[in-house]
Amino acid sequence: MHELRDLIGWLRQRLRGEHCVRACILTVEAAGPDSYLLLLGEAQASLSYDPPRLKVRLDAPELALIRAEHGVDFDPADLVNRTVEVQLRTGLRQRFGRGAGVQAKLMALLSLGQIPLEAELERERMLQRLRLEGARFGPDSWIEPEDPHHIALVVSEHGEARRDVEHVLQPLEAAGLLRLHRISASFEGAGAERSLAEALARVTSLHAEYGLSATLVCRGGGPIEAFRALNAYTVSRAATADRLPNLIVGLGHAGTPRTALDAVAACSEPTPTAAAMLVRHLVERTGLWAERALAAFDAAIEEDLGAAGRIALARATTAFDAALQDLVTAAEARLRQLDRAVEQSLLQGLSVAVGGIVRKEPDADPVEVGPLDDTEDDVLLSKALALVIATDTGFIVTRVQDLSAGLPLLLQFPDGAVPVRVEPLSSTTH
Amino acid sequence: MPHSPETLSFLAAVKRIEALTQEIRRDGLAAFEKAEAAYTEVQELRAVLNERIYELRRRSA
Repeated sequence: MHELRDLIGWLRQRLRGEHCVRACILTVEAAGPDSYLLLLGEAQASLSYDPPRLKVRLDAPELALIRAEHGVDFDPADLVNRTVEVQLRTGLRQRFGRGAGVQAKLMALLSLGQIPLEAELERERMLQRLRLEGARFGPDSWIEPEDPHHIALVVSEHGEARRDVEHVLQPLEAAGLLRLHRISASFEGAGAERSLAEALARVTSLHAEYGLSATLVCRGGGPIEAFRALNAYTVSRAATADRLPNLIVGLGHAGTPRTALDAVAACSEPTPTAAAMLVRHLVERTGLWAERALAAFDAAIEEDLGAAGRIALARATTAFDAALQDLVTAAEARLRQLDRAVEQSLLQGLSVAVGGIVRKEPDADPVEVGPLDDTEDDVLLSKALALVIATDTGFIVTRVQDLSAGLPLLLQFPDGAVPVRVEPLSSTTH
Repeated sequence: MPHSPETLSFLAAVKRIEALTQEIRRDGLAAFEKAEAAYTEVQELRAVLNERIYELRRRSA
């Protein structure tokens, strides 16, 4: 039995060393000023479900040495997808509170492989063959799904790509907003081509059964060799639009060269996560669609209600104005009647008052004219003849003795005036 | 393209509400009277669409 520190010491001794290895640079990410983390993969893809990976640190002093040899413009990002021979120094890294781990540091770049063209040539040959066969593929084959629900996912059972895609889409699946049909396939190794073709054929049958909205084919990063199966004719032929609906691929990472499957796909995204996000956005778009549809419906209702309200208000306003006008007209008529009545009454009163004054002798004492009585005769008189006016002089005639034969008069009645002339008639007693 | 009942329901709901909107826009108050008569139907459509909106908002929150 040993103490843990003894084991750590033993591991430190075993892990310390320098190694020359051939590998493919899968990713390069900055880790500080002139310091980078390089992910190494196999230069030749193996059949393993868990392909070896090693993260290696490239620090400023070693980078300066590389630049001294390859030129000052050397950018570590240019190493992506290149086969390299490197000298590594390994050791045990002990981080406080986080335990021990293997650390590797790139000490020297021994050789740098050329940019591979073989894969690109193979891809172009295969696409040319598909075109000659009249196969339908590429971005033009994209048909926007109205309500994406059934989605096929072709992914390696053990790769990180599956985890990335599940992370994005599983919540939507849990909510019942989509259903993932998961199909495992091998993307690397000798059996990859057949495995992928079978998986895509399975998608075709699922499409016939469920009516798939889209097909996701995803894999993580890896050496260029590992993508060879994705350039194979059988795989691309099985993925054309007449067999698969809306093929979305997310293969490798941003630095991964385009494969034939990228060209065949209706939509090619740089990573599995980006491909999954595209599906997620398609689903989320249905929510926006629903929001817009409801808002448009409510707006239509509101506008029509508003229009109805405006029409009703206009009608009510018009009716109100007409009623008001009728009232004004009636009031004016009534006022005219009142005016005539007042005028008649005044004239009558004046007539009575003048009659009293005229009968009085000029040198007689003033006669007090009492208030006008509303006797029955007066009332009848007021309803009958109102005023007799001498047309020639305009004087009001109040006595018979003021009349003479042939005198023109104007008889003023409440409802109008009549011109007459005095014509004496011999009276006959019956 | 066949769909499950849930998605068919959503699609049917959103398309029906769009059709009602167009009718109201086209026929004005007459169509509105029809929509009012179909009040229950509109409520059901709202429920389906709001459920979709709610689920997506909840997931993205």
